[in-house]
Amino acid sequence: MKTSSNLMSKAKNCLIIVVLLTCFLLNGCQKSPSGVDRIFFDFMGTSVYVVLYEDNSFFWQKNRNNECFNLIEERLAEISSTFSVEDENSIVSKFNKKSYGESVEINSDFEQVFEIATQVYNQTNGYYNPSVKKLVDLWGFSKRHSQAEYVKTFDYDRDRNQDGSFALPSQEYIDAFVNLCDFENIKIEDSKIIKNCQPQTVNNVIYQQEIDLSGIVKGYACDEINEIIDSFSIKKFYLSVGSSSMYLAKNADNQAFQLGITNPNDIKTDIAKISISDTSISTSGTYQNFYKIDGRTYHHIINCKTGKPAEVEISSLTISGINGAWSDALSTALIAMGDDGAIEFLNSHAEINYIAIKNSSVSSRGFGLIE
Amino acid sequence: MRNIKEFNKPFKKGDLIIYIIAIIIVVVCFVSVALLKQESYQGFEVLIDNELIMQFDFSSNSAKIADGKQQCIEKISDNKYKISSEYGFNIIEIDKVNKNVSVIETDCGFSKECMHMSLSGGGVIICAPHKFTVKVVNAVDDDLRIGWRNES
Repeated sequence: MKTSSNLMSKAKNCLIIVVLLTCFLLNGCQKSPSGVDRIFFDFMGTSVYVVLYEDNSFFWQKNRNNECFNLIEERLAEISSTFSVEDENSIVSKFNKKSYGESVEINSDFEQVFEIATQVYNQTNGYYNPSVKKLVDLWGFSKRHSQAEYVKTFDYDRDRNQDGSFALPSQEYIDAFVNLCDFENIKIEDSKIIKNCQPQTVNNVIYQQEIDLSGIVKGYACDEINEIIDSFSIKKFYLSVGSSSMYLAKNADNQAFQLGITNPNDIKTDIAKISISDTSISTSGTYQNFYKIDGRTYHHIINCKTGKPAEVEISSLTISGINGAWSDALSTALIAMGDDGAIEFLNSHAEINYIAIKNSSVSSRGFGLIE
Repeated sequence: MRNIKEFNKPFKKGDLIIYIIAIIIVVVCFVSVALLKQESYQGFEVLIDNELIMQFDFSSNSAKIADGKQQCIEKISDNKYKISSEYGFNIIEIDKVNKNVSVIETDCGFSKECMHMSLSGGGVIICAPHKFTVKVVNAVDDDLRIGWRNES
């Protein structure tokens, strides 16, 4: 009996040692990522990239991540079918084809984004303006202008030069298209958006108001994807929509990410590095989409009040605020305002965290700059 | 007397063997799990439309083409590969010394944004018109970057 009891006791001791050792060793394992799942989605002419760091060792964890990816894919398709200017059947495209006084049925996505767009339009005194689309096209900054085969389509189109530049547009078109930037008179009634801006006629051609909400939709997509991932209780992940809107939760080690801010003068390097977690962030800049004529630079962010590229020395502005959609719209609007307007706005809104790069010097608020 | 003697002896020979075997089992299990979790190489992957086309291993400097994807890849030189699909082509150049890769030629559009990207900043190269991506395998993702590009 005694021998048997001794054996039992030693077996128990042995088991305890095994369990403790296993716990100790497996705890060490957890410090490195045990699983990383990444996926790309095509989304409105750009890519969405989602990286999950949660453990995917077991089949149910793998299934959870796959289910999460499936929901994201479905959601992105819904958003794209509402806002894509490439998709002829999207609500935005349908609106753009309508004439003065006509209307298009909208959905809840459109309603939400339009509401945020209106808020930012009002906050920025109209510098965020989705109806600036025709002016952007006039200056040669639409997607069709960067295609390998550029085809002149409208009367105002000019030839593309070897260096990618276009001759400056005529003032007649600039004035007409500024009049089309009448965003605040667009009406939403009974789940319908009504075109309420008088068309403009130039050289006997009638031009209707057009809108493009892609300046806010990338941020909105960040918010929506974040919500889906959150519903799976996944805490370690990041996602990017294009290169300019991101949501960063926690990295594989459950720590903050280190995020580089692109150097406008050398886009393969960083000009600053920040530590960031559980935040959405968006950036806008004048350093990638521009051309030069007679030594003067013309970039793609148009001041809808003058109808011309904004006169601004801030070449990059990165914003983190209420949510992704808001940050996305605001980063563009502040560059459109010009240096003085942007600085004044930022000084009067202490809740906004920002990194501004002007003539290679970095100024920031609210971000932990690492270097 | 016999009991006291036994008490002073920390382990019997048989017990010691059991303990050693238990420790060996735990260590073997741990090593197996660690090895299974470890990816087999450090390098990058080329994907088109989320489908794996090619892997490159920097430790052995060797490329592995995914099954059935041979027709997508043309080896131009020791460090240059042309990857073609129904969407167009991208030519990648591999920097074996700095363990980097970049797109040096493409027919994706006038601005050719993918040619300005590098694996060293953000760990991913994306050519949206061609649904073409190059991503680091075993990336730590501590080197992320945000910046404005002409994408849409």
